Amino acid sequence: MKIYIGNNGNVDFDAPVKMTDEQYQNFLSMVRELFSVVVPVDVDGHREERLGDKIFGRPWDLEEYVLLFDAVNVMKVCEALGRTPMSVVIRRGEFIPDFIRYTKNKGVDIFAHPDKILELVKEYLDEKNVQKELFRQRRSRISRLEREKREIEGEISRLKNELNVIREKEAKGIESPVFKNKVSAIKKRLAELEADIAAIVQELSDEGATDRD
Amino acid sequence: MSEEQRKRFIRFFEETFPGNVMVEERQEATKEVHPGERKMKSWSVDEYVALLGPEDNDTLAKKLKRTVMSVQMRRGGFIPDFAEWLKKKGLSYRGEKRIIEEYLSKRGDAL
Repeated sequence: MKIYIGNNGNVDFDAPVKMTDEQYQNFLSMVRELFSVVVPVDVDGHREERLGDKIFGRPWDLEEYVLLFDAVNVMKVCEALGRTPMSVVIRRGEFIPDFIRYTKNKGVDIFAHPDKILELVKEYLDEKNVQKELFRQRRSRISRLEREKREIEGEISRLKNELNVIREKEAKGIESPVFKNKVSAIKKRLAELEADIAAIVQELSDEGATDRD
Repeated sequence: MSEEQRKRFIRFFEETFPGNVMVEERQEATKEVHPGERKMKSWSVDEYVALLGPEDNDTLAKKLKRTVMSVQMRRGGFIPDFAEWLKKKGLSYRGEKRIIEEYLSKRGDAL
C-alpha cells in the first residue's frame, strides 16, 4: 500500500484499501479522533485519479457548518475539518448572508446578541436538514415517476407498432380472426396506459418537476 | 491534514498493515494563478457595516463595486471574528460605527 502525501498537506492512497470489518471500524475510530465531522458514504466504484492528477473538491456537510461559527480560529477549524484556510473562509462568506437573513426573519439580530449565535446556527442547520431530507424524498419520487413514465411510453410505442403491423396486413387483404381480438386487446391496454401517463404527468406537475429536475 | 494528524494516520496504517506501507511525497495539482500587479483596495468602515447586513454577496458586490469573491472572503474572515470579539467584550452591535472602528483598531491587522 502506498500513502501519498501532497505538498499542500493532503493525503491519498495509490489505490483503494481493502479492509476487514474490524480494520474498517478501527479506521473510522481513528479518523473520528482526527476530524470533527466524518461521514461514511457507500459508493459503487472508485476514482481513477489520485492526489496530484487533478484538484479535488469536497462537498460540505451540514454538520461542518456549526464549526464555522463555533471555533473562530481559522486554523483550528481547518484542522478539525481537514480543509484549507481558503476553503473555510470562502464557505463562511457564502454561508453568513443566508444565516443573517434567517436570524433577521426570526427577529434576532445576531450582532446585538452574539451569545445566541451558536444556538441559532444549530436551529438553522436543523431546519436545513429537514429541508434536505424533504428535497431528497421529492427527488426520489420524481425519479420513480419519470422511470415509470419512460417504461409506459416504451410500452405504448411497442403496442402502437404492433397495431400498425396488423393494420398494414389488413390493408394488404390479409385477414385473420386473431387480428380483431388482438386489436381490441391492444386498444384496451393503450387506453389504460394513456390514463396512467396522464396521472403520472399530473403527479409530476404537482411535484413541480421541471426539465432541470 | 496537519503534521500531527498525518503522523497518526500513517502510524495507524503501519500498525494495521505492518511491513506493507510505503509513503510517497507527491506534487499536488494546483490552479494557475496570475496575481499580476493588482493593488488591494482597502475596506472602509461603511463597507464593513454593509458586510454585516443581510444582503447577498452578489447584490453587495455590485453595490460596493467589488468582486463577489472579495465580498465573500471578507465576510468569511471578518464576521466570525467580529462576532467572537463582541462576545468576549460583552458588547452588542446595533449599527454603531464606533464599535467597528474599535474592532478594526484592535483586530484589523488579522483581516
